[in-house]
Amino acid sequence: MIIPNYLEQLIHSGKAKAKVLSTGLYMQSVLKVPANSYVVIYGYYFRPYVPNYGDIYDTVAGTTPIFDARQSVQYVLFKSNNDFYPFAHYGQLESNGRAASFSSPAGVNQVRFTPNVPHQERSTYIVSNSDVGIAFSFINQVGVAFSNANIPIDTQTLPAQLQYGGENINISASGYFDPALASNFYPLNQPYSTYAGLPEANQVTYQLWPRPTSGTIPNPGTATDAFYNAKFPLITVMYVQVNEQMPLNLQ
Amino acid sequence: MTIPSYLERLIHAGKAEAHIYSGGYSNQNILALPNDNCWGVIYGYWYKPYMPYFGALVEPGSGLHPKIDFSSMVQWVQFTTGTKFWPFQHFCNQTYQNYDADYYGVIRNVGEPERKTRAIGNVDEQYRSCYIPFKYNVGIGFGVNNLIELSTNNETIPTNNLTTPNQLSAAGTTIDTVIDRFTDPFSTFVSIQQISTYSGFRTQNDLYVSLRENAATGVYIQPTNYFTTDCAETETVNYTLGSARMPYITVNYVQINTQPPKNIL
Repeated sequence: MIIPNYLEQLIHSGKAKAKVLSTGLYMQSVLKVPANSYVVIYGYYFRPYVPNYGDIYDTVAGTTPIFDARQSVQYVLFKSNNDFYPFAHYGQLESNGRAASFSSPAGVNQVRFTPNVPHQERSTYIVSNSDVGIAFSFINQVGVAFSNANIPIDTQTLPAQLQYGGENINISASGYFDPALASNFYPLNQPYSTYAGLPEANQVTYQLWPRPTSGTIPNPGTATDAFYNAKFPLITVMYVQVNEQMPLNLQ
Repeated sequence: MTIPSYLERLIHAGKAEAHIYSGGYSNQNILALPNDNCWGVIYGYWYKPYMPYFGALVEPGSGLHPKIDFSSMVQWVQFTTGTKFWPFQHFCNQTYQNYDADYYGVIRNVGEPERKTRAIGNVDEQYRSCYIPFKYNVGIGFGVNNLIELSTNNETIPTNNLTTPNQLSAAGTTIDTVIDRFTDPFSTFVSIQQISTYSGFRTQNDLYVSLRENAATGVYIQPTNYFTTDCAETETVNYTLGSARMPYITVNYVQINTQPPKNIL
C-alpha cells in the first residue's frame, strides 16, 4: 500500500492532511469528516475476528474449539452517505493454529488454541464528504443452494446470494441505528436508501450492539482476562482529509 | 512498501534525503531532526513485536510453561509528532506451540552449561505504510493492549480522534494497563501521576502527549523484568535471550531540508 500520488501532492500543497484511524472490537466505528472537507480512504489493515482464539484445547477431555464456518469469510464494510464499500477477507479458520501450552490468567496450565491471525492489507479509494461507518461482519448461515439464482452484480449492497440470511438476517452485520425508524436498520439486506447511511447528525450518540458471534454474545472475561482482546477484529484505516469542499464530480 | 513518488522526486531534486531509523527495546525512542531548518515524512515501518515469552523454559513433565498474558497479543506502535498522534495496532501471536513438537527448541543459550527446552516460536515481523509529516523530534513508543474484559454493554461508537479509541485504550477499572511512557517533543517528562488516570494522555488534543512513566500495578514493558518474572524460572545471566524478546522497529523516513511549511505540519 502506498499513498496515491495525487493525494500526496495535495498534502504537500497544504490542502490535505494524512491521518490514521485505529479501531476495532465493535461492530461499527465512525470515521468523522469535518464540515467543508472530504476524505479519501486509500487503504486499511484488518485483523479478522477469531471467536475461538484462546479457547481451551484438550483432546483428552474432548474440549476443543467449536468453529463457526461463517467466520471463515468476513466482510469489512465502509458506508458513507454516498456509497457502500464491502471487502471480503478470509477469516483464518484453519488448522495452522496449534495447541499451545499456556497458563491461563488464573495461573492454571491449559492448552489453548492460538492460530496466527495477521492483519490483512487492502488498498482502496473511498471518497466521502460525510461520516463513514466502518463495520465488520461474517457471511451468514445460509447453506449452499443448488437452485438457480440471480447472477451477482455490483450493487450498493453485498450481492444478495452471499449475504441474505433468512431467519438469521440480524447476524450478518449489526444494524445501523435509524433515527427515523427508531430502530436498528440492516442495510445489507435492503437496497440502498437514505436510511441506510449514518444519521446526518449526532452519529456518536447512536449505539450499535456488538454481536460479533452472529447473535451470541461471548461470555465476558474476568477482570484480568485479556482473551477477548485477542479474539476481536482490529482495523487501521489510512486516509487523507482534504480541507476543501468536495468537488461535485466526486459526489 | 514503496517510497511515495513526491518524496522520491524531492530526493532527486536535491531537497531531501532518505533515511531509516532502527530502534526498539526500550519504552520510547526518539527520531530526531538535526536542526530546525528541516522536516520529515515517515512513510512506513517494520515492527518486530514484543515477545515476552520467547525462550522461556519448558518442562512439560514438571508443568513448567510460559505464562501467557493475552494482553500482549495486541500491541500498539505509536508515534507522536508534537502536533498529532498516530496509533497503529498489531496482532502479535505468542506462538509457543506444540511444546512436544515443532516449535519448542532444545538449545544451549550463551552462558548456560547445558541445553534446555525453550519456547522458540515464530516471530511475525509486520510492516505498515503510513504518511506522517513531522517538524519536531518524533516519539515512538510501544504498548500492549489493556486488560479490559469484554463488555456486553452498549458503548459509544469509536471515532477518529487524537488518541486511541476509548474502547480500546481505556475503560473501567483496568485503565492502568495500556501503554508505557511516550516522548514529549519538548523534553519535558510528564508522568502519569501528573497527567491523569486516563490512558496516559492528559487530554485528547494535547501537544504534550506523554505515556506513563511508571505504572506499578499495570502491564508495562520492562526490558529485563519479564526475563525473570514471567517464565517461571530464575535466570540472571542470559540477558541476550531477554533482548530477543523485546520489540524492535525500523522506520523509513525522508528528511526534507527546507524550512518546515506551516500549511503541512
